Amino acid sequence: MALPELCVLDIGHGNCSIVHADEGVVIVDVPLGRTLVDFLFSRGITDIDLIIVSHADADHVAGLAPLLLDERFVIRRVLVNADATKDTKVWDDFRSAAELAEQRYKVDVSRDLGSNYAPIKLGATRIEILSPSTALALAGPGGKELDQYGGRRMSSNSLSAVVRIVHADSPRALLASDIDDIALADLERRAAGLAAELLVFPHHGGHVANADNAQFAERLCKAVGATTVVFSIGRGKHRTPRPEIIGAVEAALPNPHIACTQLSARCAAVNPNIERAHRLDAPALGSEKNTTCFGTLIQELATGRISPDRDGHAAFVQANAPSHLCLGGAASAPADDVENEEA
Amino acid sequence: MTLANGEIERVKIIDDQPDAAEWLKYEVEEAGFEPIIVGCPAPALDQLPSLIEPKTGFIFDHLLAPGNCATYVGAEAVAIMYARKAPALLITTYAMDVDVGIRRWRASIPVLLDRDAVDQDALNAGFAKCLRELREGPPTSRQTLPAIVRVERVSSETGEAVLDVIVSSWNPRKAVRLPLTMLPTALRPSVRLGSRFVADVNIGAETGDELFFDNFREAPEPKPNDGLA
Repeated sequence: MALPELCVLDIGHGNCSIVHADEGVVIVDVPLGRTLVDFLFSRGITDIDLIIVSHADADHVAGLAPLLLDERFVIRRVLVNADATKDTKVWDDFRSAAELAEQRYKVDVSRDLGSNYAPIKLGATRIEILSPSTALALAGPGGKELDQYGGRRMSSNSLSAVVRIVHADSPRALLASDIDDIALADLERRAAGLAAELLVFPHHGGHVANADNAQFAERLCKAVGATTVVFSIGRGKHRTPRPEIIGAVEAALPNPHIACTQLSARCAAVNPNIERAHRLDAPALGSEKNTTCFGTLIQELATGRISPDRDGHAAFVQANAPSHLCLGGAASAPADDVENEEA
Repeated sequence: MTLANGEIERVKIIDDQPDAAEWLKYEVEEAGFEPIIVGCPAPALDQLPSLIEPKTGFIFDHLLAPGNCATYVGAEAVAIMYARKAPALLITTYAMDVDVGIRRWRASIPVLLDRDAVDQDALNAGFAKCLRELREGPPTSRQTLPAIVRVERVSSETGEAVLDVIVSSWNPRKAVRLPLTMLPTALRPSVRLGSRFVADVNIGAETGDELFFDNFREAPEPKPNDGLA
């Protein structure tokens, strides 16, 4: 373990990333299940400086209550945005836990997540919140973007936090949560610096609201210029990633490494019951179910080096994923209808 | 052949139905163990530990009362064996027993088998899992974390009040049932549709029948003016 590091956990369908430095720990999104807790224990982490909840969807927030309520963890601050459209019981479960955490454990639950939030510094590592902008945040989910930009109705995804991790001026990673075309257009207008070596692709590679999927992927990838593009997916959930998105990523970037946390059913209809020798020995939901494709990923922030090894992953894909989308396979994948891929 | 490097050589079967016990005996033999049918009536609850011997495993049927075999249920018997580190499997015929009769003891039941799924492979795998847990402690899927438990329905099942609850940090789309008596007496008047509690729950469980709950306590309702909605 070489600190500082960024860990992108395989938690199935959802997102969860951890910036772990000697100076502190920042977590971005906490989906359901206990994989994050297991990871924290495996690293000996009990003090958490900040948890950023990118938006109010269950696959980004449902696991936060156990963390907030577990006395073994000290959590200093949770950064979140209000979401009046989320009249869901899951969101209210989080609100209940947040209320308890504020009262009993003195956790600071801040409601001002946005691009005006000062970058968080952990030694030489800087965590920047690039989106939502003040303009989007003021309108809020359910509100409309300005008429001159199209006046489209915004969802929770439009207000997703976009987080960039920079180490000593090297832009290492962009965590794009579930942003849609409204958010991307806003980032483009503001010329927000999106460049990063690693991109966690938004919405798990599912359908993008208000946009052509391929064009959205192409614009985003060209703006980021990543060498590694991660799709945080759960095998059998929502049929992600979509072929046209993988195709657009490969067309937009020179020789990108596409890394899905779990093996998509699109790439292998039958899950190969074999050992994933290339995967990291780190908590991962796919390890428990033997559905790993790339699995949990670690990026050393000082060097940018990513584990596990790209070649080992490629060999696994070539040998075990007969209809693989990456490695040039998306071009020959059958097109399918746009489905409802909420979450 | 014996299981797990000879850790278990014989298996005692406690089942109130003689035909079912004979069928289990066959499967136990096929799995490579010496089967011993414990006749009915089975020992009283406080006498169960007297059945424990070296290199001996147990299979308990859950419902033991219909055949006048015992006044307790198999789930409670397995929990007693678990506390004494004796490997014991629980078998059930009725899916609904999982929700009420078994749920309250589930933390002490490493392996629950549907009777229809019992065969030599299931028995071998079950005893191996059970021995591993007794030796190394529960796997993460059977370790609890505090979670918000939301009441979705209150009803009655064969005269006992039951709750259907959602644990959103486990699965926000699936309700599980548990008996009201799992909550402390002082909390029971607070139970109503939509009420929330904190409980320790094994949220790493794969399926709903593996879930167990402990240490229920109050959870606040979200405040209308909390700034989050």
